Amino acid sequence: MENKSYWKGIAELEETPEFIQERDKEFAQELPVEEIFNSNFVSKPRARRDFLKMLGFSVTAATVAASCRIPVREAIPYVLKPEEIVPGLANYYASTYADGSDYCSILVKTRDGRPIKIEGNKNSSITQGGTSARTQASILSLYDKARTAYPHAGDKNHTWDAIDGEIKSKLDAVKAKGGNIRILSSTVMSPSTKSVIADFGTYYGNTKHVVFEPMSHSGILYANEKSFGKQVIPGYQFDKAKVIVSFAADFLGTWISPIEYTKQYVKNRKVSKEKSEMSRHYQFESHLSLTGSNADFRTAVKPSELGSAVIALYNAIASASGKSTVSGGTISDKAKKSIEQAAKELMNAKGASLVVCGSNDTNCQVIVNGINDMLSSYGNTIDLDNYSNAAQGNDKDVFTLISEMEAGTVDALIIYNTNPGYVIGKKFMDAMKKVATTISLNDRNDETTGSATYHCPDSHYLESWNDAEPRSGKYSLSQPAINPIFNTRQAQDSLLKWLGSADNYLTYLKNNWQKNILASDAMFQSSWDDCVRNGVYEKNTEASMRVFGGDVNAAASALAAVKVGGMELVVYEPVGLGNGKYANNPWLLEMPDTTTKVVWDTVVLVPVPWAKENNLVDGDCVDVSTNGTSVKLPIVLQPGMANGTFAVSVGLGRTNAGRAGNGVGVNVYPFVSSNGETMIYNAANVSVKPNGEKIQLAVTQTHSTFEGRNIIQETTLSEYKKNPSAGNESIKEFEELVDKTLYPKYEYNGLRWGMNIDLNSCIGCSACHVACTVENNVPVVGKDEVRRVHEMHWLRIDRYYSFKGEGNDLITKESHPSAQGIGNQYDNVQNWEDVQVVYQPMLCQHCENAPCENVCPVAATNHSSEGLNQMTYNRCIGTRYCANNCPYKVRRFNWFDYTTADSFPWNTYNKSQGVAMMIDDLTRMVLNPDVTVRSRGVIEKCSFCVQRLQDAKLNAKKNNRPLNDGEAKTACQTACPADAITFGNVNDKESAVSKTREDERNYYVLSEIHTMPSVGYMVKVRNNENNMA
Amino acid sequence: MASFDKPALSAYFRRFATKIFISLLFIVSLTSVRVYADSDPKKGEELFTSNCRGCHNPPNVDKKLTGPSLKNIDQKHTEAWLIKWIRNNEEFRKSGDKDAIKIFEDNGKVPMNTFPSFSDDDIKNIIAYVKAISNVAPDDGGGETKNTVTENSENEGSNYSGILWIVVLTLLALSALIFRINRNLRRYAEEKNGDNIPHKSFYREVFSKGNVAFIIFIIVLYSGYWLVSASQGLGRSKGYQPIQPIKFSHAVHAGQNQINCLYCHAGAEKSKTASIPSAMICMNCHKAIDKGPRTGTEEIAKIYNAVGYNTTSGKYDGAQHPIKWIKIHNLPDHVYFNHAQHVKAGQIECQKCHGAIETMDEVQQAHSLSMGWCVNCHRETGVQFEQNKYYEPLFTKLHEELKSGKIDKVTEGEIGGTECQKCHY
Repeated sequence: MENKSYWKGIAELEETPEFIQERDKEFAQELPVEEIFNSNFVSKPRARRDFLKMLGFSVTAATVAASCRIPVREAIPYVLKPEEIVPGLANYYASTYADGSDYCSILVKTRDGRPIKIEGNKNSSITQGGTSARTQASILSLYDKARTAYPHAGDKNHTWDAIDGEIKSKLDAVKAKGGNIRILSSTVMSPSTKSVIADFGTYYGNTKHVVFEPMSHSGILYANEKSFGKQVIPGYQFDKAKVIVSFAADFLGTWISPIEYTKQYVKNRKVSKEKSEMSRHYQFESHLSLTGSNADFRTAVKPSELGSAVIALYNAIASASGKSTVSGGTISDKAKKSIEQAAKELMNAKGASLVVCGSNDTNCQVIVNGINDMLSSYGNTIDLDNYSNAAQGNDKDVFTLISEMEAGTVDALIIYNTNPGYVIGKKFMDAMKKVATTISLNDRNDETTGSATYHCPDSHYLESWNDAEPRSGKYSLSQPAINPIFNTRQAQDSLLKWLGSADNYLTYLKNNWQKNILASDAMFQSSWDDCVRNGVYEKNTEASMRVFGGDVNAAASALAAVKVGGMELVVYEPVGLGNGKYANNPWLLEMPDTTTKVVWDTVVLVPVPWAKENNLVDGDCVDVSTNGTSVKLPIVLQPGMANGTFAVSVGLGRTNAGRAGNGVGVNVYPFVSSNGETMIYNAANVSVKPNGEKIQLAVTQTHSTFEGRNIIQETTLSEYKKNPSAGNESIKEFEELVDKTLYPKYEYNGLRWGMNIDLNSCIGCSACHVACTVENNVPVVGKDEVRRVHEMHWLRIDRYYSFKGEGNDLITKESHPSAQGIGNQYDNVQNWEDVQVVYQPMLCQHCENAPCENVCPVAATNHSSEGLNQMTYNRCIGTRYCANNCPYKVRRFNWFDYTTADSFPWNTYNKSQGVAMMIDDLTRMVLNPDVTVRSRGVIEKCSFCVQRLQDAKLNAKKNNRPLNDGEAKTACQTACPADAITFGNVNDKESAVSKTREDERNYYVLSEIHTMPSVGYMVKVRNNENNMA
Repeated sequence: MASFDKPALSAYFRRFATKIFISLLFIVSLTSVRVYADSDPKKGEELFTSNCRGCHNPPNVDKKLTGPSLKNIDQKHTEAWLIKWIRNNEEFRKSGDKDAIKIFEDNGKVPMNTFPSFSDDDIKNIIAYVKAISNVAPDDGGGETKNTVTENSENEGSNYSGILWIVVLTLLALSALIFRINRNLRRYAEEKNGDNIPHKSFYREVFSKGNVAFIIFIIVLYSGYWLVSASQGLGRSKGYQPIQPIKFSHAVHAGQNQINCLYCHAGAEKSKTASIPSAMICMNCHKAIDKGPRTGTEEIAKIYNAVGYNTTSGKYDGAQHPIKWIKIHNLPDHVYFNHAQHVKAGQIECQKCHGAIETMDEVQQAHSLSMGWCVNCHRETGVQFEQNKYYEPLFTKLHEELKSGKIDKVTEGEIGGTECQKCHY
């Protein structure tokens, strides 16, 4: 395995001149020193005098600046300090992040009254302490100035009383004439909000609640209605599944409830000597999704082939279990082989197998239900009793609503937390013009709200009381962590006001819980208090068996009738940005996409052979058109794409998102079509034409390359069972050399921190990446700066491809050596559909023999007695020798003052939209006060979250007790939904991290150069051999 | 080759000697001629403040607190006696020293704390401090506190430098005089001998190229030194004493009334910041005490205004106006300081950093809060190594050394307390 070559992008394989330049230089750009010396400036005859003038000026300026009086700082204490607040000490409040389909039970860290960080809540059985990139980044939206600060009517600012009066009279008029009111919202997981909406409907009559999700899963709802008479999204149990087959369902990234599924999924992906069994995961999909990249067997199929693949699997399983097969299911030989293998394994694991499908086609989902029924999944891996309340978008309702609006039969429309003006666009906005009264409860003046009669801005979820029921019986509470920053009011309060209720929503919520959820007895208050403190309240219902009543034959023939042909297009949701609601969040905008590593842009992913044929490279622009929609997009050559398939991600191209998101990328929602019943996220007969233009993309994938060094270790499950050190042999031999060194050995008397990252668990979701950014005040630099390789991320997720599959097995380091690394393989690759992916979070390795430490002329980076490689900003003079000498390329230089750390405001870099937003006084409230805001000209890097370590130590000291294992946690570790990161004291032989070091799978990246890192990685074990019985 | 004759050698030697003289002058002026006594009253003051001040008044106040006045104690007892007494008065009394027993009985048989960790030098420093301060006029409560040893080196410099410069100038004038006399005499002798050596004028000889270059070199060196030390001092504000919105006196509250610091600054034990008390904390006492000894009702009324307290109705029904105190102790953004770490975990007295706060009417920044100042303390101060259970499972080796008596204390510096990332992250 070790001779396998790993590469990050096509450029690395091809060794393009740009790539070589970037690779060979730690700092991609030359400093313009020569330019200055050759310029007129120096050769001018009076250069000496000019020099003296400048010298004189600078000295005078410095003197004047230095003699300025130290500013007087005020300290304003509370008049009456709340009991639970100690200034300078963080408080954690249990709450819930529930926004549309996103759900996460959380703890909100507040410092001196302002929320600054989100942690997962371990009490929840759904998210189990895991978080996602979006959950982590959602805190920034609290301080987003693009949120509407006042209630509006048209362009006019209003008071709440005035606007309530006007709205009430309009609604009353609708009620009086028996008119129709429609409430259009994203998924509402909150039972109390649903109850408010129901009360609202009862009060006004003729009211209907329509749920709209931009990335809809209506197909599943309708299929379950047809199959089991229950229109629900079932609860999936990936933890109970030994064999998982997914048809384009990105359940680790975006599908329904990714945090929940990740927690379940990784449980069966972790291997150890004690537990050497792993689940088997098949993925059939068109573009390389996060889930697909983690699959053991991934087969690229065109979107049009997906239905046939599902039918083929149905037939394979039906014939194996003696049932009648259905017509259709002709697929390519390659896919057929995988389907047959998958069917065999599914049958073997009957009752512990699971088939999921990401298609929004009801027929497709009916057949999947049929498969799951034959596999006895219901009651085992699929739970229709403890169903999910996420992804409730109902496409039929939405289509009906639009035609009602167009027909002019809707008198009042209330829009709550959804943006159809952006997603559906003109069709919806035209229809909306025919509605007399439109009220938007959205938080900002977005594409839809701009045309609404009234705008009653909703508060941020961190300012609101709410509840959520992500799965039936699993309740979760939200409590405000801060008073509303703007003059906003939470949507539920607005609705209650308009239906004439005297209660505020908190009272309503409590009453609802007392009546329907908790015991209504005298104990209510105490059990309510418990729920607020814990954040969750959970009841269990036994899952029961279900009788499948779906008509598979009809579904199969309907599927076969779908017209296909030509080049095809997939519209997908990106893991970070999601469906576009968070398009104004610079952290997410600058988070490299999990697969493409593109930031700040929309791209079209193209299959590599197509690009080769057309002689195109990354950044060349094409016109993508279908069904009368044409969009100009830059391309990215994407390995793993099904041939003849293109993919675009939604979420960008907003015009009214806010300062950072406006005009970034392109809106590709127009490519979403409908089949009359549901929305369809792929298109056939697409034309993709190069238009000769070219832009420079901001892509981080080939930044910080390892130049073909051997840094990924992997093996297969059967090898691992035979030999626990499999895949790790080459590294083991270096371990013996550890003690042979000329340098003095460090003595660690007390603590010694160490980390371990399990490559088997890491799914590459980037939650850790955003968590690190939030915790450590890592600046946002903007698109131009990323183009110049100036991104500041302390923790990056390196995504490596390697070849696997027919035609490519021969491509190894030995067979195609290159002078520099692994280059010159580009032309030899035959099969671009089958690639394997490894994700490797890369952060400062805190080496014991740190190459950076030796070269610092001012000792600004040195070694601590706890094994930390400490970076001292105030000592750093910016020579960047350390970054140059770091083999892991994890050191970042502040080329500009990105976060207004400088005392001279005019030095701040604010040329990009994102940075301009981040340096706003309000947005700066999100900064962690325990971490220095770095100024221009200094190096920074991962500190192992030293502020958290110090805090944990201090806590132990304050309580006069030893430090417990697992008490000190880094931000990346707590954010991880896959529990891939272990951290602790290596000197304590009983600690979890010490145990990982003794594991045979543990290895250190580049141990051959004797840096002796503190971060270990666990060999990746793939369960991808065909020898399973 | 020049002949090895007498005048050439002496001229060479003279020039060399002049340069050495000037260099010496320079070096002397650099060090500002601090006349160090054997003991350092400065260190003594620090020790006094953090260890003795709780029970003894400052030595210039001839008034008993828990312990007797220490005014001129150095004249009442010998140094050796004092060392024994201060280090372990209990043992000393047991040894049967009459003076010791008498003092114990005179002071209501309240035993004085023992200080076994004090070295002889420590105690000598304290005595030096007592000696230095005993006869300084005590603080009359009106303003300037005068019971501290002047620490500021700049002040120190200016005290001495006047004299120093007079000495330097006199020496310079003298040497010029001697030089001239010597020169005239030599010339006279030469003329008498009939030698006809051409002579440069006095002016040209003094301002020769070599000398000028040398002087410029000295000036550059000196201004470099000045620049470095001045820029190091930038942003340091020792002695900063802003006018606060309320004339709150720590001398009255913490000094006279002996209110525990933590009563108001409750955060000091728990949090990063010691926290300025909320105005309601003031009201715990000032609801009853509406009149102060010095300012009458004027200043206390400001508290009532802040909390919206109505004195006639006795209710908090007015508008609240948070008090805008002026922050005195400011650290730059790149420094992390945590009060709980020092007060709770380290058991450090507040006075160690804040000075004799209980004597200050208006709070003044007592120390420079410079990094050198922090690090020095981290090097010297022992941690609560045996008292706090945190350390035991971690530092087994040091624990054994401590138990076996190989070391007598573990300082913060020895367990990583002087590393960058203890304060900078």
